Amino acid sequence: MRLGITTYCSIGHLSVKVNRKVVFRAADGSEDLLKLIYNQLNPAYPKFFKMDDLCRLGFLGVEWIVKERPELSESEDDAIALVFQNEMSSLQSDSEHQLQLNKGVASPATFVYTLPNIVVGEIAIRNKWFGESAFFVGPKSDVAMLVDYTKSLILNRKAKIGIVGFIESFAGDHFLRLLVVEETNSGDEFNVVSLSKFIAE
Amino acid sequence: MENLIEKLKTEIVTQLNLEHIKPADIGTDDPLFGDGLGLDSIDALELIVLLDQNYGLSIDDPEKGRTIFKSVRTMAEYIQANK
Repeated sequence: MRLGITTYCSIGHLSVKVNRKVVFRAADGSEDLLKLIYNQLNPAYPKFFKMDDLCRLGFLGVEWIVKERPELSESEDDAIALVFQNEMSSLQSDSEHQLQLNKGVASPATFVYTLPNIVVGEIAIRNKWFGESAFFVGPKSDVAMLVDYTKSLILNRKAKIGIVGFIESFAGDHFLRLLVVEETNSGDEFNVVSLSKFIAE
Repeated sequence: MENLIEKLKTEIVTQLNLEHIKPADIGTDDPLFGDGLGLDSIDALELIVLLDQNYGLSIDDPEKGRTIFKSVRTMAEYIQANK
């Protein structure tokens, strides 16, 4: 079985790219890129405003993917696997939670985002995708592991499609690289080289 | 009472990050949960924090919360009666 990359999405440096074409660019000096992207997409999803930045970033990346590939939202509810990775986990929310604890009263709304895999949950709830999911955290990006894990899910029929990549957000800096991976003879082959190249773009 | 109600509406919007809602959009007697404002269980916890932080009121009995957080008016009545 050949696994190919059928959609690319990247967010960072004040822009959003889908399939390597810029689909949104914020003006230089813009603040809160994620809200600007939300306003551009206008998904009418108020829960977005309650999410932390890591969840907002992952949510928006998948929203752009579904906008490009609307048929994904019609998939069987266990057809799509979500496989993400980052290095800083949910550090932004962790820090805010710690600051609140230091002051004496912690906000439940902050506390619930002190786990990175909440990103997966927010995307799953939004899209009604209840298949395989994982959010790996490590001190260094492990592209090989991400590729092996995603391939294993699809080759073992645990999922038909993988949305896989890196989601990192801290102190207003956002980095998202997501791919849609599935069985196909077209597109770049999904492997360590192609994923590494995409991350470096 | 009316001043407290308007203040509470602003505090709810801020505390719960309801960026899509203006304080004036919240009906004084509208249900805060379910079909009204559509708040969830985390929001309920945030409302408890709001009462504690802003009014020094704690809610020990979760069953009381159902009555207190029925609407902005019931919250205001609770604050006025217990402050």
